[in-house]
Amino acid sequence: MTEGKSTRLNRRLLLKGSLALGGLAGLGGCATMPGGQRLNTAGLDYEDIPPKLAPIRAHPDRIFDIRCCIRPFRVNGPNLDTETIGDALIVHNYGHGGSGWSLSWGSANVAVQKAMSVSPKEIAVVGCGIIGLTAAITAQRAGAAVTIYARDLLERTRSVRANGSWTPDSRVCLTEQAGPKFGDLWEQMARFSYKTYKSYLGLPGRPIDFQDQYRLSDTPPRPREEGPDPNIKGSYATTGLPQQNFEFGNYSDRIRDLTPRPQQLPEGATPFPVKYVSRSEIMFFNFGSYGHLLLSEFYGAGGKIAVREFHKPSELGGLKEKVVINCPGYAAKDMWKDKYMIPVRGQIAWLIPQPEVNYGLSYGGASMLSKSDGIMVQAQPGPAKGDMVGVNDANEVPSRKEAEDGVRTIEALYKRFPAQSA
Amino acid sequence: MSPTMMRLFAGLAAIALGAGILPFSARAQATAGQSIWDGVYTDAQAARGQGQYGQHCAVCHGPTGEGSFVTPPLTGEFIADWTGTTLADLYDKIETTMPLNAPGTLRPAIAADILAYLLKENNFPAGQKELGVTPTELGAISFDVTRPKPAASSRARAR
Repeated sequence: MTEGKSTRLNRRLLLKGSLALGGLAGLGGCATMPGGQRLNTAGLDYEDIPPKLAPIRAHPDRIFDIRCCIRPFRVNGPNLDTETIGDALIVHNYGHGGSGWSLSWGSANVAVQKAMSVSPKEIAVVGCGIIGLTAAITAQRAGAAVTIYARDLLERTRSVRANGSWTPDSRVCLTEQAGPKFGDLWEQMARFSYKTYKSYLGLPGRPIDFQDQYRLSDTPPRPREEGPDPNIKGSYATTGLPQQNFEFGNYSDRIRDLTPRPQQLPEGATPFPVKYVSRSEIMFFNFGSYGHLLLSEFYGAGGKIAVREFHKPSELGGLKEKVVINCPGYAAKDMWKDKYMIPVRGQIAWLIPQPEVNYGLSYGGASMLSKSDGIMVQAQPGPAKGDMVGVNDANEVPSRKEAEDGVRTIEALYKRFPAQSA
Repeated sequence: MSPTMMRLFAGLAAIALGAGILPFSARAQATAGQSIWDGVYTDAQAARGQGQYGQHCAVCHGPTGEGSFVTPPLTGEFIADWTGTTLADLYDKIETTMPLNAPGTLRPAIAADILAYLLKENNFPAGQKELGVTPTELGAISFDVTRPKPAASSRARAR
């Protein structure tokens, strides 16, 4: 059978291709790999022929960390409102759902503009996740002396337990609850962030990077949902919780000019033993190098960090700084009694880094991204799909089973390549 | 005041704080009623709380409150975090926000028992009366890390 034949070829291509010195060579219908194997690249332009792809050693015993977090999903979208406590101006900056890393700089810009409207010399930032840290640096760039008040620094916050890739409208709001004006604000934040990230590209340690992302499927990929599921009757408005993916805000079309379109690749054009392959590119954040860079930048500009936990909003009014940018993430639900916050659980298994793997993939409900500080594998833990995964689940205890399930899904994909002959 | 004098004054203040001698104004503010040094729970209550802790809290905070990389410990820096508050604040945190995956599900008496256990784990003394659950009662117990000297304590209570 054709599939079996190509599968046998593919294992060799994947392994030998990854070790080859010469990479791909070929034009017009095939690519010749060292050893004589050929990819079926008919119909692909030369520049679109996939580069060599190193295999992922996806085995459960290579899991070296499991990180679980609660996304600070807020049905109305991020809270960027202001209020006064005592004689302090509080500028809120929380509730970014699964879009915190992506929107951080743009959101910081909005918050800092509000903070600077009273010309403070000093600004306090509460929280040192990615939202707090970028807000603090942005405030420094605006000329303020900044102190971050936080219980934990970035590496122990929920931020670094997230996915950390460019997903600017991932669970950022519910469309109806955020209202029609939110799209403009979202686009402003997304474009501002994207521009800022460009200034961190190409630096040592690759704090910000791009990778090819292969979407693999044995069956024709489902088309994007264009409307509500008529079989689901309830909604957030009637139940207090979102009931289907259609309710979540989707604004990516507004910034289509920033990212290339996914490209369908012909069967056999890649070493992957599946019938349907599409390739896109994704920008992502290497937590280690990027976090270190941001903290260094903050300290280098004279920033100070005070370890402190707040228990009541009134405590913010007692800070010596009279302008406070409040970036508590999910903690806002309890401390600020924010009824619009809904927990959305997410978990990631980390495999030992493989620097030679320079791509990501998704297959069978699992997804993988190769970062400098490890290979991230996310499973689909239950029947829910898309944005509904993890909704209203505040269980932050890591699940080893879920982690292994995801890794085994990727492992099974590679096992479909026949063993190498001697 | 010259910079040298300021440094000297600051140094003396630091020594005083380090020795547990809080300035009068700070102590007066912190001891409007009882403090956690006054035996505000019983051993039996803490024992019940230990069982409840194991059932509701240990999965995240560890078997003895030691915390983890991602979960704050309930000893050590926990004390620093809550210093200056009252037990009403800490009780409210437990009762309304914990456990994280089912906030608000602990019955008041269970939350109070867990609080008693946390006090015991942090070496604050037990007494003869169980910790209650009313905001008035809990709000009158200061979370004061500094063990008061007997004289200072009785003076505060006498007022």
